[in-house]
Amino acid sequence: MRCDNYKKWINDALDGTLSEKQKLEFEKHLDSCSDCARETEEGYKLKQLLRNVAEAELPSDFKKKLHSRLLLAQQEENEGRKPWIKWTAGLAAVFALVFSIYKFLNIAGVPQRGNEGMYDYQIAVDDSKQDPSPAAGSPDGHDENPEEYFGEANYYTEDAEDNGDISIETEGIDNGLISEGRNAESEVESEVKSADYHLYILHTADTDDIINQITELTDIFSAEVITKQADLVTLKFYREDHTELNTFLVRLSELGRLEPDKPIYGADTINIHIERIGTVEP
Amino acid sequence: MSSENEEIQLIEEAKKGDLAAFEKLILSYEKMIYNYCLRMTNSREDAEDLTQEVFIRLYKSLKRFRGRSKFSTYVYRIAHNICIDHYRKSKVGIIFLSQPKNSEDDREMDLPAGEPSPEETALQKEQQELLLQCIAQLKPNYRTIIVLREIQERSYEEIAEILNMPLGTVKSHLSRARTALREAVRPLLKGGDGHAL
Repeated sequence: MRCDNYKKWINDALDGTLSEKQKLEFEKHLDSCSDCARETEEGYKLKQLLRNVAEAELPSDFKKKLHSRLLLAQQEENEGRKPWIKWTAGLAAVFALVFSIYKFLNIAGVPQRGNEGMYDYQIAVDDSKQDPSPAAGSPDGHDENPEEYFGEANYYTEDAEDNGDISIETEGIDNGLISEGRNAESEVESEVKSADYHLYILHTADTDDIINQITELTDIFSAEVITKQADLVTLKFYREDHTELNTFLVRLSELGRLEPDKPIYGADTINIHIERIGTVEP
Repeated sequence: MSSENEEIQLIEEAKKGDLAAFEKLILSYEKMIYNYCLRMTNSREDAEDLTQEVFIRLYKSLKRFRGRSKFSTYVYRIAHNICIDHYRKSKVGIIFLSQPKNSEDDREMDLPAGEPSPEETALQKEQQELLLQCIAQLKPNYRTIIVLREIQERSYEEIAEILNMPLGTVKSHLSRARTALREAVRPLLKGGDGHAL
């Protein structure tokens, strides 16, 4: 056997998973190969060093701080459980919007068309809220609040630069150390910059458990599955945390080929359409 | 009642919003997760913040835990995601340890500045410090695997589940992580006479 093949056994030797026969053969090789012998010895030393890393004690006020934060979280949770609060707030927002539009039309001197015209306008606003995608409603989905739109875009750019530093998903350069700013520019350039697109297609051959896997994945993020069908999952993220969405998508892309494969920010609700590949139709 | 059953019961009570049950449930995980975050960040301050964040997120998401994986795996998965998020936000891209300067020159590298203490304990402490710094310079996935496997002694299967990765990938990542770390701490390993270790 070639030396390169024995090198692959070093890891197994460190884990103690070589068979007796392999162990004898490996030891024999080490007697004649100083390179492998050195690597193996260093491997054992490193393993021992790591085993000796002392366990740190929790900071003294850790539990006290955590308790306070948990109480706060519990309080928020309890408030969130009262649906009437949400409904009241939602209703108030709709009234405020309708009222401000009414005032605006008055100030701008737009001729009033009476109650009927006002009603038409209200319906149009409601439609755009229900479906902010470009396909329906306003052309870019963000006409209602341009400031918010540009705010998102700025955040996105910074975030994309962050991603350039990440090398976990990149297998190319594999010295194991972080490469500063590597690929930052190219990744920023290649990422989709639309802030209103929120449909992802997951191409996967694993059809049986994919919905469950997505649901399980969602559990560890501050997100919730809103609807679940055979080929469509709708998720809602609780926080405007773009890096979290990014991490979620990285994890999601491990389940299949994700399209688009870059994060698109600006929507807290995302739809994942499951496109089954490689399955034979009955 | 077995500890496993007790845990299941605590999870159910905590899901209903029982804070005392939740705090009891996480008792045996706090130190473990703190140490995980500490080794991932190499900063006590960051580790404390992240550990708090892990348990807050756990509290909020617990009602969706259906027991398909081990509870410890679930907690670790949250911790892993939070550490990765933190890494991305903090832009910890500064390389403290350079690549080996000259691969032909037996891959020597610079040690951190400062005179080594003549006392053995101080030397060992310094060596451990260097080791931890080297771990913190690994790519996040490698770092996670080294911490989980070599320091916290989790099984390959559990690591695969935490990272949502096939078992084979975990093994190959660990192999590469070990090589990268070995290269970085070579001066310690070369200590000779078994002294350094």
